Formats: sequence, C-alpha cells, structure tokens
Amino acid sequence: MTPERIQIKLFRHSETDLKELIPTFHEWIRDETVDGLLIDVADYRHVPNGPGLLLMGHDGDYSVANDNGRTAIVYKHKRDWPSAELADRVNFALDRALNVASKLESDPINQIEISFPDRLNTPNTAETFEALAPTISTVASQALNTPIQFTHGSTDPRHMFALLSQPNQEIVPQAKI
Amino acid sequence: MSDLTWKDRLQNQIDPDSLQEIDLFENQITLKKQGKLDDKVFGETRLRRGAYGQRYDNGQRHNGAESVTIPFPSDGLTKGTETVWDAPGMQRIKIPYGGMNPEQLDLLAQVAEEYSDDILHITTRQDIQLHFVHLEDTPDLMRRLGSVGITTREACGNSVRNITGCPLAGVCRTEAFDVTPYADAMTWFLLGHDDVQDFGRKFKIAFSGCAHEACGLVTIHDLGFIARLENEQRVFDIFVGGGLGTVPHQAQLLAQSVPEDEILPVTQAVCRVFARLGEKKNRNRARLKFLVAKLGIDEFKKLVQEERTILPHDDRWTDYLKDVPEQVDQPLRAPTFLNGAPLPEGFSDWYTTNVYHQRQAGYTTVTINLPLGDISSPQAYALADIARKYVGESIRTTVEQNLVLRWVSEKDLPDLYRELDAVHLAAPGAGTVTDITSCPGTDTCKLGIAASRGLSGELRDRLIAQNGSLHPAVSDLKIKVSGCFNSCGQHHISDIGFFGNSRRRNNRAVPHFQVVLGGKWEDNGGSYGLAVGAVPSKRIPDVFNAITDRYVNEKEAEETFQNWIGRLGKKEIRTMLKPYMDVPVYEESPELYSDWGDPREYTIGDIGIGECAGEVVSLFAIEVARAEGEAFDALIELDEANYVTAEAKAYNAMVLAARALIRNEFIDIGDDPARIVTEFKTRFYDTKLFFDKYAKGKFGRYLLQRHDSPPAAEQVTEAVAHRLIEEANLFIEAAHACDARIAQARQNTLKPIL
Repeated sequence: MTPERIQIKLFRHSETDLKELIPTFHEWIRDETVDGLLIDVADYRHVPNGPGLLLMGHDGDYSVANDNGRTAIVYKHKRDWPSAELADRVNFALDRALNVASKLESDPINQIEISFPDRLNTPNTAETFEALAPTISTVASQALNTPIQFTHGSTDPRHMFALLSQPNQEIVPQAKI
Repeated sequence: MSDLTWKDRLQNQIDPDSLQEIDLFENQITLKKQGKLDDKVFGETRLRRGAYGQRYDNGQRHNGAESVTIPFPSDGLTKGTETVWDAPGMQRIKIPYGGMNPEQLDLLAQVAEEYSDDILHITTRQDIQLHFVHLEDTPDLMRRLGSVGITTREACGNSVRNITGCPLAGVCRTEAFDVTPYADAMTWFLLGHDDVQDFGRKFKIAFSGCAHEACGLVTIHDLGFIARLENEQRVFDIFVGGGLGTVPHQAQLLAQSVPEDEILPVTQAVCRVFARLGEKKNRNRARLKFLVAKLGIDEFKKLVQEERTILPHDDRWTDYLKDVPEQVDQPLRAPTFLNGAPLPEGFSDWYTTNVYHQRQAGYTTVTINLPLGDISSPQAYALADIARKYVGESIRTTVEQNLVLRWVSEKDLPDLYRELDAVHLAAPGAGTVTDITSCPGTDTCKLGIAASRGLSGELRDRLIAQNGSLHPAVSDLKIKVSGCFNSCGQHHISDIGFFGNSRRRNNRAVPHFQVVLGGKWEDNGGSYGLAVGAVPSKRIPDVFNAITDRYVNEKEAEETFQNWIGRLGKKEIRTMLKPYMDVPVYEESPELYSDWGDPREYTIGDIGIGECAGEVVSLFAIEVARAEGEAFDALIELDEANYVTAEAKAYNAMVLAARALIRNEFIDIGDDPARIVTEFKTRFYDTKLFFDKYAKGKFGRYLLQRHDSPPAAEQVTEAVAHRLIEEANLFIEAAHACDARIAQARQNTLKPIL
C-alpha cells in the first residue's frame, strides 16, 4: 500500500520571524496564492519547536516553524491525491513544498526530511526504509536536480517513518526556487 | 507495508463493546454519506463519539474583506445541521480524572501527528482535544485510542462528559482520602448506561478530595463529590445543580455524609430524575441547574430519594469497592531528598512554582506548565519517556490545562528538570498569574466571539517578560479567559476573568472582552465574579496593569484580591475602566478593530465596513448606554446588599436595552415597561430578530420571564439578584448583536443602490 499522508520538511539554517508571516498566510488564503483548498491560520508560536504557524487546508497543510535555530518549511498532504503511485505522491508533495518555499524569501534549503504520518502503511522499520528509500531518493534527486541520499531518521518505533538528507548540503539555493 | 486496515489490525486489542460501537459509528458515517440518516440524528450521534464541530464548518469564512464560501468538495453533504461534511472538526478525547500512562500519551501523540496538527490540547475539564480532524478519519482514530484503553464515547453531546478529579488525589497533603478509584468506577459505570441516554443536555461530574482547595471545582458541576472522613469512615458530601455557562449557578448540597457504597446508586437516581424531568425542548434551559432551580433543592432531594428507593439493585454499585484499598499508585523509585548537589540554572524558580511536596515524604508532584494547554507530539513522546524513567505510570491532566508527574523522588528533581528543559517543558510559573487558562475561542470554536487564546498568549508573554519584577500579590492571581459568554475558560472563578463580546462603532465591529472581577478559585470555585465593563480587546493588557498596579498600591496587609475588589466597589472600578472603554473611530485607532493574533479586520459573521455611514453616533448607541448604566447601578446595589433594588435595576436595564432596539423602528414607544416588553416581543422576539445563532431566544426570554413573573421582595436573595444582573448583561450583549445584524442587513439592502 502507498502512504496516505506524506510530509515534506525543508530546512533553512536560520530562524524566521513567524509573527510577520501571519498576515501573509491570511493573504494567501484570500488570494489563493498556493495550491490546495486553504481554510484557516493556526498559530502555535507559543509551543517551542512546535508546528509554528500553520496554514490549514483541506487536502494539505502548510507551515513554517522554528526548529532548534533553523526554519522548517513544511507541507503535509493528507487526502485527495492525484495518483496512487508512491513516486507521484512524493513528487506532488515535494512540488507543493518547494512552491511555498519559493514564496518565502530566505536562505537556501540545506536539508530535507520526508516523513510519513501513516503508521498503518509505513511503519517505522528497517523494512520500510529498504522498500521506500530508493524510490524516494530518485524522485527527490530528479525534483531537486541534485543527488539526494537519505538516511533513516529516528528509528524509535513510536515515531513516524522519516527519511533525512545529509545535513548542511546546499540542496536548493534560493535562486533556484 | 501491509494491506491491513486499523480495524483488522486492532480487533483483538480493543474491548469488544468499544469495537462494536466504533464499527457502528463507521456504518453510520457510511449511511449518512448515502443520505440514509437525518442530519440531526447523525449530528447527535457524532457528538456522542466526541466528534465536534469547528469554526468555519458551515463553509463560510470572512477573509478580512468579505465573507466567502470555502469550496469544500462535499457536494452538499453535511454531517449535521449547517455543518459541511469535509470541514475539519475537533475530536474530544476523554481522560477520566485526567489520569493516563506513558503508553497512552505516546498513542495520543501519534494520532495527533497523523490526523490532526501535531498538537495535543488539554482542556479545562481534563480532556484532550485534537483540532482540524476530518470526520472520516475518526473511526480509525477511535480504534487506535481504544487499543490503549482510551474512549471518546460521550465526550460531547447530551451525555455524561469526562469525569474530573483532583490531579493530586492520593498524594495531596490536605485531602480526606484518594478519590481516584471512585471517579474511575463512576466513569465506567455511567459510560453508555441506559439511564444517561435521554438527557436534554450535557451532564458534568467532578470529584474533590477536600472542600477548601480548588482542584475538583465541585461547585461548578452538575454533580459533585467532596470526600470527607467521618468517624474514620469514608463519606462524600454530594452537590447538585452547579454550572458556569452564560449564567453561573453554585451547586447546592444534595446529601451530606453519603457512604462510599451509595455514591453510584445516588448518581443513578439523580440521572433518572434529570432524564425524566429535565427540559428537553429548550436546550438553553436544559442543564440540571435549571431543573434544580425550578423544583427547589428540597423537592429535588425528595425526588432523588424516591428514585433511589425503587432502583433495581446493581452489583456494580459496590463491586469495585473491594479493590479500592489496592488502587494506590506504586512509586517507581524510593523516596529521597535533595542532598545539596549543584542545581541547574533556572531550577530554583521552577522548584518554587512547579513542585508540590506530596504527603508521602521524599516524593513530589511536578507540574508541566503548558502554554495555552498545548503540547506538541515530539514533546509528548519525550514526556512519556521521562515519565517511564522517573515515575512509571502516573501522569495526569489538570483543569488549569497542564500536566503533572506524580511520585517524583525528590533527589531526582534536578535531573528531571534538565530533561524537561531539553524539550522546553520546564517553564516555571505553574499556578501563577502567567499560567493563564483559556478556551479555544475564535481560533477554532464556532461559538467564539473574541480571540481568547490570542489575548491569553499576549498577556502571558508580557507577564513573563516582567516576571522578575512582578509583585508577589500579582504573581498569585489567577487569570482565565473565555472567547464568549459560555464560560469554557471558567472566567467566573478567577481573580481577573475575561469573556469575549463585540461592540459596534460606525458600522464596524470592535472585539471586546468583558472584565470579570472577584471570582474565587479556592473552595472548589467558591464564588463567582461579576462583569464590570467591556473593553476593546487590544486594551485589555493596559486594563490588567491598571487594576493590578492599583491593587498592589492599595491592598492592606493580607488583603486578597477578591476582598480588595469588594472593598473598592463596582462604582470605583467602573471609573477606573472608563478611560479604556471608549472606542475611537477606525481612522484614529485601526488597531482596535482587529483581534490579537489575527490581522483581519474583526467581524462577527459577515459584518463588514459600511461606507455609507457617517461619523454619527446611532440612536441605539445612545439608548443602550442607558441600559448599561442601569445594569452597572444594579451591580453597585448588589455590592451594598440592596438586593431588591439591584434586581429591579437589572430588570430595568433589560427594558432599556429593549427600548433602544425598538426606538430604531418606533420612536414614540414611551417609557411604559409593559408596552416596551410587548413591542419587544412582537418586533424582535416573535420575529426571531433578537435570536442568537446558537443560543436562539435564550437571552430574550430573560426579559420576558422576569417581566411575566417578577419575584416577591422576600424572594430576592443575593443569588437571585446576582443572577438577574448576569442575565441583564447578557441581554444587553444580545441587543448589541441584534443591532449589528440589523445594521448589516440594511447595508446589504443599500449596496445595490450605492
């Protein structure tokens, strides 16, 4: 089975003033600036290293969070996929994440995490890593036009299955996105 | 990877009854999608599974410029009246008496990641809520919770809600005895019980280990139990008919010294009386408090006693009692004491406010102070690990929206602090002025009028910034914030409370908060504060500073805030608030026309900008100000124990507010109350123009009922006067809202002409 939920996290090396983004997110809803059916803004700035500022949607959620001194630009796709294929789905989610990153002027992206909030279909095991990592690496490398190697993120079985690229690799320069 | 479903995978890990109920719910979802279930029936079914509505679930949202339809792909399908199928909702999860173990916390963190927004929100009734959940995800979510012994059944709807209890039960230094086993037995006895399926409204139960602390908040509950030892026997004093809501009622004593083996049958008898005689048609009069008030406590007692005598025996009433002596937490580590070893930076502040010394020497209970009651999934995993390492099973939620770890061996505190601090869970200030309680308000609640969380976050940030310089008398105050009059933030029982409302200035809406002063948190929520004036939301921090600065300067030696407020008097308080209450026009202070954390121009529903309005004060604004003045005079009379006058003024305030509305249509209405009430009924009540979207005609009936049945002077107690003043304030708020709706309708009519 293919994961029903995929989350892309793009890291940048410095933090973002999330308060300044609140009006931006409201404008994005009003102007339909990013893809997907957008519903509302949820503010979790008070939770340290939490989800930050969320742009809640019907099919997917966007967020920008500060994570241990870095900025994480996140897209989580939840439902209404255009394809049932894993590669298509990862590519689709990655595309939306990169699109929103391109709208937020900031530093280059220097690490990517692709995770699967779907423990039914993608339990956090070595078998899942072996089964999924090659496909996802290929998709990500093509999408980003640079070789991306992933390692298995946290192996704690409680945590969702996640793949993490090498740290501090300048994956997508700002100019490129 | 697997082709299994959660239903397949977990079928042997869930209690068969729970499994069947969840399967049934999933079937009902399917039937509803096929159009085979009525909206109202499905709505209540959904609520009884804890799947609640959320803001914008009618498919409309104001984007700052106009109200627009959110194009959900639901194709007309609804999951309740005016509730769009695909709109995200809130899932409430019952945590009986707040107790959970690390395995359950881990699972909660997982479902928050998968179905929600990575956040577990602790409520003021010790539940956990997930937001932005799609209805079709809820059956699997429920199965997964069921696999670790957590239920969402009857978490919402007209049913017995989560049963709350002291988070310190069993370790408290002042309790009579541990109420945990009784709260636990009550939870499972009533869950799905035949006698609790036909209520007109929700039913809330609380347990407290003593009368004088706040933890259980018994007096604000429909049914409450306070533990006592009498001749070394365990007994409970049982209270009924309490509740906050729009007009708060203090619970009254139903029975004293009830033996432990009687609490389940007495509860069952109360439930039967409530199911049989409680209001069913008008949900605004359907809580138990209204039945108790209507019958009188003596008649209610008599009915309960009669019901008790005819109840068929049930072994479950007493079966659990044999296990009560064994139901004692087993500490993971031996008791120890701090031994003078170096302490980490920040430890002392945290130790002062977040550590409670249990009655068991060498053990402490540690409070995890959660900002706005929120904890992220990664934090929850870390906390579950920390709990496993230091305390084993014992985690509880609190009504102050925090978590506690019990049975921490004292010598472990520095290491525990370091580990909590590493995941940002070691914020000091638990139980102090910075530990603000707040309902979700306009962030996610469909009933929210103002941004309670936005305000709470702002106050919290400001207070933390000056924490080192805060006067101790201010540090000890309680702040509680509700987004509307429904009191989910429990503003009535705080020193300084706020509840959201709105005002209109030249056809623009301005978010406000009513300031509620002088409530009492101790004594299980011992007394309720009163609203003293509505202030624009953005000015609340200044108002807070003005009140607390004056308190610090004027308080006598050991004078509590509540006593100082009583001594100061409402008139003086109003004078203090007055400079903050006036609203300048938009062009002078546009910042007042949006709420905390939300840059959109504030609106209720679709109320927007009226370009055709001139800079004039409306007739309504002038007239309703008289009503507000009269309501305030009533408060002063109440302060001075002139209850009959206070009650009469509260009534007159409603008449004046009704007159203010009528004068817009019928300038010569005159001053005769009978005529005003008749005209109000004809023009605004019978036409439903006065009706609130959710409360319907409730506020209008406050005037009609008081007018039709004025109390005799000897019947006007402090409580009667207090209640009518509360009702008058709500009536005035409703008049403001009604005027705004009418104004907006007029604008909409004019638009094509313009």
